[in-house]
Amino acid sequence: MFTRAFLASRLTAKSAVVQNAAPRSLFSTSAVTQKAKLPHEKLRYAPEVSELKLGDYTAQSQRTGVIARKKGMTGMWDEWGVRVPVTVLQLEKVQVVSIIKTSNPSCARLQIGCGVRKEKNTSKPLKGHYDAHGVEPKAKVFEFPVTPDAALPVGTEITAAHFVPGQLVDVTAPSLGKGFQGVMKRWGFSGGRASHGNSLAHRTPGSTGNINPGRVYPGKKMPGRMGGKNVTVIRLPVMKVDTALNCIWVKGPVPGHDEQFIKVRDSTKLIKHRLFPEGAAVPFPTYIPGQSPALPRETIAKVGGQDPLVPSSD
Amino acid sequence: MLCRQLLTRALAQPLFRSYTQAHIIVPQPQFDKPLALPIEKRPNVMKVVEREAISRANVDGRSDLFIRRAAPKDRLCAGDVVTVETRNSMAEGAATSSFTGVCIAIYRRGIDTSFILRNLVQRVGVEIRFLAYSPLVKRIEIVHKGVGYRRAKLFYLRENPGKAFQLKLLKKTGK
Repeated sequence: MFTRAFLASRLTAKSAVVQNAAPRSLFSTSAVTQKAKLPHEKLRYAPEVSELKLGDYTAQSQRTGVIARKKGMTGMWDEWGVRVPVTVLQLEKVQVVSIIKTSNPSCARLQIGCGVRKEKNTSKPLKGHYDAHGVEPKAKVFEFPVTPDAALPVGTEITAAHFVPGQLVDVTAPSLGKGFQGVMKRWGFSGGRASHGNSLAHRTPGSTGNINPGRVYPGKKMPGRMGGKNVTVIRLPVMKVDTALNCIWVKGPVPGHDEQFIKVRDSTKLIKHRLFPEGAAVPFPTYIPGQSPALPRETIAKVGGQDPLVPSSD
Repeated sequence: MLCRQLLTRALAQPLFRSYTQAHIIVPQPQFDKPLALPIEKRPNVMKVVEREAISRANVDGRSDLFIRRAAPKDRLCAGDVVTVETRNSMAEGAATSSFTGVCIAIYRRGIDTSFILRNLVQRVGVEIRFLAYSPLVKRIEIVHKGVGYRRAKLFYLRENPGKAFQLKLLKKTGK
């Protein structure tokens, strides 16, 4: 029988050898790794939450995303008096659960958890995972890649102030399920003619291929289950941030039903767009209470540009 | 404890005032706590959002006009003759324009509450839909209470106007 201590020592020895061989990760966990006695303690990310400090945002930095909950849609008016449809997303106890290193030393993923899960509903393996990191069980967990300067210690809470009014975000969520649908709705086929002798072929897909090769090509668009798949909407402006309700207002509709878990992250495809508005102070790596400047409860983005209601002189 | 709270509040005030970034607007008034009812254990986010938005937009008590269960004399009803004055833009000192018509429908949708006014302008039927809480709507005034209307939506006035648009009030200002 191997004792626990023996196993742990063997495991640490192994990891030390691996660390020497592979390039060292820029996401340091050394402080705890040396102290760790049980295997699961090695998973812990070294810095404590109290050691978190504000950094400088660079164009290459990639901050973590969050899991939010879609609450519903409403409307607001921008500074020009134009109505803007918005979706309200709430950040319910969003925390860093763990940090997952990859083979690339300069890239790791932060595991972010959202909401609360009852202990009796948490499976034992997951319970062990949460216990090892000292985080309460989460309703939903997802990973977001970050750059080393944007890494956060385990247990850090991410609030709505992580986002800046006027910045652009990408939003991912499963779309509403549409059920089993025909090709006209699912793929936008034209269907058949309404009249002129058409018989029972108004909405059919028609031919599915040639006599040569005598089979249907894989990936042929056919009727089937529609919706319920992940959809990403890119470059949505954050219209408002509410620090008391812990909500962000995002312009326009967002996939999924109300109370749906939504992944929100800084926008990545920024052709001719700025991620943050000009002159904005970016909370980097996230908004840290006490260190970051105090915010009013609510802040609204300025749309800017020309007044659309006043005809331009030229 | 109270002293501490007051102190922090006093300290917080100028901080907020200095927090004027070019890309941000701080809506006024700021509610320190979300406007949740004491019954609500966990505030219903959408309801809080709606309450706060309406209380901000309700500058002249116009939300009283759209209470569903109020007495008809206190609220806006289908059939009333209404004058709405709107700003042409949000710029200061921008010109305003007004429209008078018979209210033929009210849509109570919280912050998106709207109503439709109909009138005859040079014998052409004109309908305008106004958003009640839009910042461009400067004034909503009930000029004349409608009599004899028994429906919530008066779309039949499009086909059978009868004498609905023959009021002097409507002819004078319906331009």
